[in-house]
Amino acid sequence: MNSFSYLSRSVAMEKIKIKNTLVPWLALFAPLFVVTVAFVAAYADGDRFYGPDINPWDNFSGHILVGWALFVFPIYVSLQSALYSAMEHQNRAFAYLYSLPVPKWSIYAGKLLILTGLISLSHIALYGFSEMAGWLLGILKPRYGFQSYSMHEVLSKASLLMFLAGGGMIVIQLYISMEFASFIVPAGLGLFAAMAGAISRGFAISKASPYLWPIGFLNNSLQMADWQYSYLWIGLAVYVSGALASIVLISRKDIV
Amino acid sequence: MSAYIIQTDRLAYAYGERQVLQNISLQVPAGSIFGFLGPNGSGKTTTIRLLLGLIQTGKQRITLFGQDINGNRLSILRRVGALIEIPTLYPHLTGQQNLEIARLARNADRDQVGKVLRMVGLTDDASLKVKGYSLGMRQRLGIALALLGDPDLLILDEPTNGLDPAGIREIRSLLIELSQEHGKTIFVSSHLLSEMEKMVTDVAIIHNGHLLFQGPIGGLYQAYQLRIGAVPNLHGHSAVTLEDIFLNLTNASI
Repeated sequence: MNSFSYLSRSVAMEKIKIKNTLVPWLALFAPLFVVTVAFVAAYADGDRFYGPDINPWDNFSGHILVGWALFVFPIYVSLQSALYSAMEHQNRAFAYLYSLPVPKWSIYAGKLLILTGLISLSHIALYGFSEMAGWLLGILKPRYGFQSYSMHEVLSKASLLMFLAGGGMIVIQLYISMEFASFIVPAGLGLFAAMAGAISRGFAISKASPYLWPIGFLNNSLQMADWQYSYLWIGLAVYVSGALASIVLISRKDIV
Repeated sequence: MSAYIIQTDRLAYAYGERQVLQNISLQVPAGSIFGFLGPNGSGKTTTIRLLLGLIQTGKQRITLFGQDINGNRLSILRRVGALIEIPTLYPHLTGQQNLEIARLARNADRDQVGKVLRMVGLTDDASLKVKGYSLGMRQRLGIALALLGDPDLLILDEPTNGLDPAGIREIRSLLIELSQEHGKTIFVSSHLLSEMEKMVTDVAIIHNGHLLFQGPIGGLYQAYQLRIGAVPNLHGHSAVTLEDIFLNLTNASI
């Protein structure tokens, strides 16, 4: 049996497992939360920020992207991975899974691909919800001027590239959530990592945290020329090397 | 090929400082219903986890179907169906979906799902979510999961745990049928001695990590009848029960 067969069957198993759970809904709720907060703030208080000859998308997109990258993305990944692995821990399913005739690496890889797929979905949703919210503001508050400008390229590229910069965080959170049966450990780690990021942001040491690479990538700018593309490569490199390290550790782990 | 489906050679295992298994040399004959008996905490589940490769054995030799579990894990597991303690089920999914997960893992034909559902009598309840199942239904679904892929060997850890007498009888009938009509070798662990007595052909008794006896159940009765001093009952059958023997062997109360 070849590796692709194992992997495709593991992915199909994981797809069944997340049916009827909150896991896929969280991928939509997290970006919806950020965009809703930005929408409500803009709707209620937009006159302070938006005026004639000012592109309102600059301010609006900035709030969404920074709020997402700095706070919601790390917390969302932590909750998503914790919720996802809790299905196995609560049902004591890891012993069962590892007694099935599939390699341990494919079980891990199936989970990683599904989690990565869900997180990519959340970034597509972040872009889609942002566009919809801006369009709605253009209808509800025409004086803000949303209908006269657009920021499709910046919003879509930032959403996609922040996702890639978050690769290190994704692989770390998945491993921790599979390793620790308690929901608190992976969820708490993400929460504290997000808070530590907010506190230490700007200090050189913060560049070492995978939880800050998405915001590090944005570099406080919506100008694509200012973005720090090195964070993408670091994020992808840690994603791949972290996945390989996780497979080695999981393969050696005793299920007692 | 050896007549033994499972063989271990002086198996030992410790959790840190605590030795939980010592010198366990199991020999499970093909086609048997092999009762692996012992009180809670005697080392039954640890042994099963070692047999399934869930715990690394280091250089110790565990063979199933004549193959060492180290290095042959997948080819062995293709021929083994396992139920470990509480049946591992996803309660938010239906019985059918739970079976579909196992079917994918085993790369079994789609029609096998319906077949095992019929075998355990759950066809009508397959579309219900497992969270609505009774414990007996969950145990039966757990056995159905173990049966997918038509394995030669079933390893069942306490399959009657928590069941009422009717549920226990159901599982017993099913296991006897699987052995006698489908030719499965069944390795079943339990602490319910009176129940095991009614179905096993061979038995191993484990206590505090030590193997106290292993062999055909008839041999066990013969060997211990005189020792215990029991006499045949009015029907000419042995008046000695497995529980008597177990108490004698372990010198402990259950």
